[in-house]
Formats: sequence, C-alpha cells, structure tokens
Amino acid sequence: MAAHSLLHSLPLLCFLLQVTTAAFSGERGTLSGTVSDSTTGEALAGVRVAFYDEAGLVRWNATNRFGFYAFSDVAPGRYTLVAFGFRGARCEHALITSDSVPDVRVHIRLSQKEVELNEVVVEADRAGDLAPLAVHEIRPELIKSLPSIGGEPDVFRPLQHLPGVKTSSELLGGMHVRGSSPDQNLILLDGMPLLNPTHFGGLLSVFNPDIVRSVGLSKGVLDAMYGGKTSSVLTVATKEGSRERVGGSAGLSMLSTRLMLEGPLTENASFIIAGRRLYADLLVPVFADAVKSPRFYFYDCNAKLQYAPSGADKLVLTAYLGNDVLWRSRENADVNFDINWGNKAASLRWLHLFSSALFANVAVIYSSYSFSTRILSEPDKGYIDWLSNSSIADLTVSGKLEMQLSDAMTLKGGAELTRNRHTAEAFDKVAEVERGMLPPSTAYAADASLFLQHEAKFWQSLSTMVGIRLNSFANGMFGDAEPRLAASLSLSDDVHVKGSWTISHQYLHLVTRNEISFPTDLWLRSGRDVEPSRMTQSVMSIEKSFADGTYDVVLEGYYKTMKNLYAYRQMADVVAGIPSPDNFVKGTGEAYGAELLVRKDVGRFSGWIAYTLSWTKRTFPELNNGEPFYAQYDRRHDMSLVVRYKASDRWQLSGTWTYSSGQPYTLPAGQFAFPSSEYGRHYLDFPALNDRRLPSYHKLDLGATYSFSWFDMPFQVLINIHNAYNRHNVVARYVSYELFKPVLKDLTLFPFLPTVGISCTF
Amino acid sequence: MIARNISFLLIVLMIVWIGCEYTTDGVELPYEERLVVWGRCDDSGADFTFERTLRLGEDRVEYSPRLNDVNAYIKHEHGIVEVPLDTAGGNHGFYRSQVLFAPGEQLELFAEWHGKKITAKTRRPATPQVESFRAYLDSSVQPTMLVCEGTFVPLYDELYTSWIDIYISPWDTTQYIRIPQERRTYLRVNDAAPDGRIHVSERYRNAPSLPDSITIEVLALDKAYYDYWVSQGDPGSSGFPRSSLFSGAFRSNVKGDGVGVVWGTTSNRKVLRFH
Repeated sequence: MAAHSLLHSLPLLCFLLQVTTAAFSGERGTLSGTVSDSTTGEALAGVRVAFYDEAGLVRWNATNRFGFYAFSDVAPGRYTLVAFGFRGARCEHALITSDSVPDVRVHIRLSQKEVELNEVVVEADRAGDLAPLAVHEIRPELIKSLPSIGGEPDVFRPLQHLPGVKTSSELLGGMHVRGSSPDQNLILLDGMPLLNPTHFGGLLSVFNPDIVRSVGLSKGVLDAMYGGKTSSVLTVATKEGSRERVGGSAGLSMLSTRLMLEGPLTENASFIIAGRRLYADLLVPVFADAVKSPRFYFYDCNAKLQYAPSGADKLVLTAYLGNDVLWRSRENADVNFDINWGNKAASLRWLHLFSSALFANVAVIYSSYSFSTRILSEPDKGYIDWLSNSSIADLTVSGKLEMQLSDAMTLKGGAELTRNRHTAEAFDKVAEVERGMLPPSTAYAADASLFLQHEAKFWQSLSTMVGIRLNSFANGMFGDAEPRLAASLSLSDDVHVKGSWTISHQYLHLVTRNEISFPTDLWLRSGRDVEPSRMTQSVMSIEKSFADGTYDVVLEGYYKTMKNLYAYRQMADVVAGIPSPDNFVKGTGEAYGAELLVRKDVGRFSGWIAYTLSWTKRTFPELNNGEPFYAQYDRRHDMSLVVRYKASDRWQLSGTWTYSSGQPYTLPAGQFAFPSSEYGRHYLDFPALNDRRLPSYHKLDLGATYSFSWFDMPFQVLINIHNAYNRHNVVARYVSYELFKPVLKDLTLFPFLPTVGISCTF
Repeated sequence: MIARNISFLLIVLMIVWIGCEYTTDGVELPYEERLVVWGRCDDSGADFTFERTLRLGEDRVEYSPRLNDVNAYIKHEHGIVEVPLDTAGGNHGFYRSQVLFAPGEQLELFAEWHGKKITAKTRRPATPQVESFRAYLDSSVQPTMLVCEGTFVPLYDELYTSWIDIYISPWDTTQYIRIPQERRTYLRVNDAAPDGRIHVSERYRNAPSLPDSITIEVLALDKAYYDYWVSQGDPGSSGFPRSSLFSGAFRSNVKGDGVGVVWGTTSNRKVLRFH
C-alpha cells in the first residue's frame, strides 16, 4: 500500500507535539526527534510519523525501539508534522516553518488515553505495512484482557493463539514456533537474554504483566541484529517509569500477588520497580503438614532506572531477578530438599543521537541461569546426600549504530562480544563443611558477532532488507555467516506480498527429554564434540485488507530445515555437571506448513482467527532406527479463535477457543525377555517413536473484566473461566501397573476452573 | 540418575497439585505381535533364537513365546543360505548355521514369520590381540593379593570386553574363578591410555599362592551389541513407565517387524601356566 493511503486508512489516534525549533532554509536538512507518551514520558516504539506540505503527504516513517525517528534530505518549506498512534482517535497537527536552521529536532508527546477503547491488538505485520520484517506485537491491554489461568494475566497466552505458535500443553507451555523447540527462541527482556522464560514448568511466563510495555514476536530470526537462536525472537520491552508522577499498580490473583511502583526521580530521571510472588506455599500450613509437605513458590523482581541528561542521550539501567523454589522443611526428619532455579539479568544501556541521522545504542549486559539442588536424608548429621549447582552466565558488551542514509534507506551495524561462563558442580554424600573445599568445574569461552543490515524502500511499493551476521563462537572454534534477506512488494494499496530467506545458527542447546522442558534439562554448549545447530527458513506471505482496513487477512507458508539438533541418547546416564556429549545424539529436522490469520482490530468487537496446517519431523540416526519421526509438538491442524467485546465502559468480555490435532506419543506395543534376562524380567517393545496420537485438544476459556473506581483509584476485576465446557484434554498417555496388571492411564490438567483476580492503579 | 529423579519429583508435584490421572476408557492396551531375535556370530558359526513379543502383562510360560517355524536365511560372501532349526536345542526356537564367518566379514540375517519380516546386519570384528599378560602375588598387603595385568591394542570403532579366569586346583574345590564375575564394562578406543593400549588390571584377594593357570580372554564385539544393551536400561528407573512422558525405543540393528540384536564377536586369549 502506498504510504499516503496507509496513513489515511489509519484512524488517527493521537497527538503531538512540542516543537523545539522549526526551520528550513535553502539548504536541505534533517527532521528528527523522539515520540513519547504524554502521560508517563516513556518513549514509544513503532509510531508512524509523517510530515505534510500544502500538497499533502511528503514522507512518513516509524519510530524505532527507542522512540526515535528521522527524515533526511528535507527541503526547506512549511510542513505539518503528525504522529499517528493507534486507531480510533484524532490527531492534531503542528506547523513547521522554514528558517535558516537545516536540522530540526522535534520531540513528540502522544496521548494514549483514548487508545483504550479501540486499540489495535495485534499491531504489526498488518496488511497495510510494507515493512519486510513481520513482527507480531502484543500490547499490555490485550494481555490483561484475555482469559488466563488463576486470574493472572500472562504474556505468553496471547502469543499462543497466533498462527504457527504452539504449546505442549497448558502447563508444559514452552513456545514452539513453526516446529521448533522452545530453546530455539531468543527471549529478550529489554535486550537481556533469558534462558528460562517460564515459571513452574511453563504455567506462567517470567514477565510481570504490570511492567510490560510491549511484546513483539518474530517467527524467524530475520533481523541481523539478533542471533544465537534459530527459530524466533521474542522481545519484551518494559515500561520506563512515569516521568510525571509517582504511582503504581497492585494485583492479586489466585496464584500470586504483585506490586509495581513508578515515578520521576528528577526532571530527567525516572524509575520503575515491580515484584511478584506465588503465595501457594504460604497456604500449605493451613491445609497440610507444614513440615512434611513439599512447598513451591516463585518470585520475580524488575527494576529500571532511566536518565536522560539531554535530548540526545539516555542511560537506562535495567535489572531482573527471578527464582523458582521447591523445598521441604529442614525440620523434616526424613528427607528434605531445596531445589531452586532462575534467571538473573542486568544491563546498562546508553542511547545517543550523534546527529539526526545517526543513532547509537551501547550496552553492557549480564544474564545468567542457574539451577541448584540439595537433598538431605539425614539432616541432623549435616551431610548432604546430593548437591548440584549449575549455572550458565553471559557478560556481553554490544554496540549498535543506526544510520539513516536517506528517508528510503537505513543502514544498521553493530558488534557484540560475550564472555561465557558455564559452571557445574555435583557432590554425592558430601559434608556441608567440606563443600567449600571442592572447586566446581568451570568452562569459559568468548563469543563475538558482527552484523550489518541495509533496509531500503523503492517507489513506495518495494521494500527490501539485506543483512549479514557473522559469528565467532567458543574462542573462534566456530565461525558462521548468516545471510538475512527479506522483501515486501505492494501489488496494490491493500495487497502485499512478502518473502524472506534466512540462515541462523544456535550454539547453546537445551537437551530435553521428549521435548518437554524442565528446569533440570541440560544446556549444552557447542564445542569440540557438539556442532552448532543451523536452520534455514524460507517464508512467503500474502496480505490483504478488506473493508477499509477493518479486516486483515494474512496467508503465510514456510519451510525450515534444521541441522545438528541434539537429543538424549536412549536411556543415557543423566549426571549433573557440565553435560557430556556422549549422552547425546545428533539429528536433523524439517518443518513446513501454512498459516492463515484473519484479524479485526477496530470497533467494540475485535479479535482474530488463526489456523495453521503444519508438519514437524525429526531424524536421528540413533533414534527410531534412523527413521524420521514426528516431533512431540507436531500438530497437523491448529486453530485459535480470539474475541474481545467492549460491552460498556465498565465491562469488557473476551474468549478464546483453541483446537489442535492430537500430539504424537509413544506406547509400548508388547513385551519380551532375553535368554540372559533376570528371572521374570521383561522389556517393553517400542516399535517406533511418536507413532500414535493423543485425542485432539480443544478448550474454551472465557474472561470478563469489570472496571470501577474506589476512592478515585481505578480497579479492575478479572473473572476467568478456564476450560468452560470441562474438556478432558489428555496431555500424556502411558502404561501403568496396578497389582502387576498393566492399565492405560491418561493424564489431564486443568478442568473447569473459575478464577478471579483484582488489580488497581494508583 | 538423581537428576532424572528430580525431574520425576517435579512432574509428580505438578500432577498432584493440578493434574488428574485416570484410567483410559475405551482404549485397548496396544499390542503388535512382533519377532524377537537375538543372534551371535562367532568362530563356530552363527546361531539365532527367535521369539514373539507378548502382550503387556501376559505371563511368560518358559518357552511358550519361542518360534520354531521361522524362515531364516543368512547372506554371506558366497550367497544366501537357510538357517535351519536346531532340533538338538529341543525345539526352543534355536537356529544354527554352520557357515563360518572370518573376522571382518559381514553377516546379514533375513527372517520371516507369518508375514512379519526382519533383517539385521552385523560384522565380526577383527580378532583382538593380547599384547601382554602377567600375574604375580603382592605380599605387601595382607592377606596376599593376586594381581593380573594385561594389555591389548584397541582398533577404532571396535568394542571390547574382557575377563580373567583363574584356574586352581589346590585352593579349594572351586574349579575356576572368573573376575569380574559379570562384567558390563565395555571398552573402546577412547578408553586407551596415552600409549594407545587398553590396560586391564584385576586383583584377587586372599590368594595364598599362584594358581595352576590364569587366562585372560578379550572379546571384540559389534557395537550394535553394546548399543542395544545400553539403550534398554532399566524400564522402571525413570519412575514412569516409558511412554508419553519418557518414551523410548531400543537402539537395535534389527530392522522391520521385530526387535532384538544380532552381533558378531571374536575373541582371543592368553594363558599363563604356573604348575
């Protein structure tokens, strides 16, 4: 779609502006600046900014992740600069008059108050978008309005309803994007990678919904800025904290309680801090034996401090700490244990505008994931039966430059240097007093990456992206080049064709048992005996808008090949410590499919329908007799229906319905013994891996949000009904023995489950 | 193993808290009758034992699963020959071929039973060479200990196991002692010392004098044998029966409608005589 029609098709929402200067002389100059939220002062990404002269639209662009926009080579004249937020609200204009100053910087402050009624729910890769990078953006309003488990809004829930995104079950909920495993997703929280993005084995994500500003999912590693993972990029941006006033929010669900505080520190600085904790363990003494019962809880904390000493500089300090803890009291005389795992991450980022056409982003990032276990069977003797600690930590220094060569061309480049530390220790029957004397095994490695990416628009109908990423991993043991190519072509104002082809590599492999991720799973770094995974992905899509952009239809097809995937050997010895390559086998994978998304974003009634037809296969020479088999998360058909209805100012209703073909699983088809077997011992015969299918999965979740004020504080009550028609969705089927007689057992998770939660802002 | 149990613990806790387990209605326990074969090819020829798989939970009545009507053939460098049922084995599904395979030669098995077909390939490894072997009494410890030390040179991608037999007449009524009694340790070229040799060392406690003779025997095995036995593990060790949550299948060189393993083996021995 041409830019002009695109802009006019967007119901204008928001508003403008503080004009710092306005001027153009006979010399051609640049027009740049930032767009921020007028309420909180936070930078806004993805906002369309355009400027007009008397004849109409001159040019348009969008703000980057840091709210920055720029137009170069602007002729002197009188212009109106407009920032477009989201649909359904008006936009005001500001005039810019010519002067002798060639470069003009305009900081725009948008009001989002009117967004709430009819905001766009899935903003990007929309039919009006010529950008070749397709990113599904999820806004916090959507996250909080969809049905959830326990009344706890979660970032992953709306993502799981997108085409091409699947989960193993509602509990074991790592994201499988286009036939890939969860460890192949690059998860970034404010640019900091998190290895374990979920709590409690996938029940909830680690992202506190109160602090999330935006979520973007790219179903491929297309942008050359990103690397290290092969399947997808999930970027979660958190709020920066209000620059206007001290405030916050609090929430209580049937799972957890949470609190967020934000506010200005000085005129140029703000903070935000948030915490969340599962409180189920605190109730254990009420309902069960406090000493004997195992307890579980998790918590996560976010903090962010931003300081903008000038319009050209911004410093952002971000920190995250999250932990899951499973424990039994030390007072228990039998066996007690203390198992915990979690992420830690922190970053210091400096954003600098060298000029209106040159933008720098420099960061120091620390990120780690650790898992530790301590089991004591004789607590009074002070001996540990089993002790293991493992952690994987990265310290990264990155520098990125974004240069606007012209309105139609952008050049991005950067470098990353990472120091990795992988530590593991495991002791059996070690006295606690001796623990400090035994050094853990530690491996260090240095990794480096360079990337360069050129983005261009031609004739307002063709957009291209050409990128290359060069990786050096494990002290130079591996060197890989990753080309990233994408293009978008407008066939008419409302029809676009897009294509992309990428190669990506992954150097850190999560080796799971049967595709279900647990905290105990091992991260395996590429090294002498473990080659990097390599994925090639080709995508073609066609997008069309209907009814003046009320409805968008996106049809995509993809084909992926994967090399050097790792899985456990059959019945490998699982030991703690840095994993031995001898325990793993190497294989290949293939995934292909088609995705259809029909979306309505405007009006009181909004939502989408997503359908995916897909195949996901794996081939390991040493598994399944070398024959290809379907991955556990292979689903032939997968469908999601998401609806939201704004019934009134107080009531908002929502519902999601999902259907997917049954997941593959394995069952023994008989038993046998060997002549040398121990007496009476038999072995199970598994003719093939994943050669059976569980019953199809479908589920309806309903939600309602009621808004009201109390003492001038806005409250929201979230009422959810999980599994409304009480479908017994089988997540596992296996053989169990009851009095030596085999029976087939099914395992189901959440039944019909009404829950309620409440939140307020202040 | 403990890490696996931690996974199990986590799963159990999740299921206890939020899961529901129930007996599946209307779904039969699966049963697919398949061939079971275990075969061995050594200096004396090739022999095979055939069975059928049983239903889960079906009692095994001694030789009842054995099959005596299997059409079995082996392929060697001169062609394909039938492997007859060895009636001397009491019609217990035992088949033997007198065709000899030299070390390094490949054997291919074809078998068919009631329409179910399997194939399996194995190769007799090169004969292992025992380079050195010695034994002596170590009286520096009490009681005196008999020490046996041997070396052999492993070949790439071969699998070895070894044992030492002590033949004695004066000590007591035991005819011989095999150490280790039941060995499941398999050695590969990766286990070689920096000098490229595998060193085998065994000690026998409470040895008053040297025995009549001591024999070291080194077996080379087709790696399929090792893979098979390693992959079978212990079905109960994961806590769950292997199925959806812990599914798996044996690594087997038997292809088609069956399971089992066919392996080639060679051996060599060295004997020390003291009396």
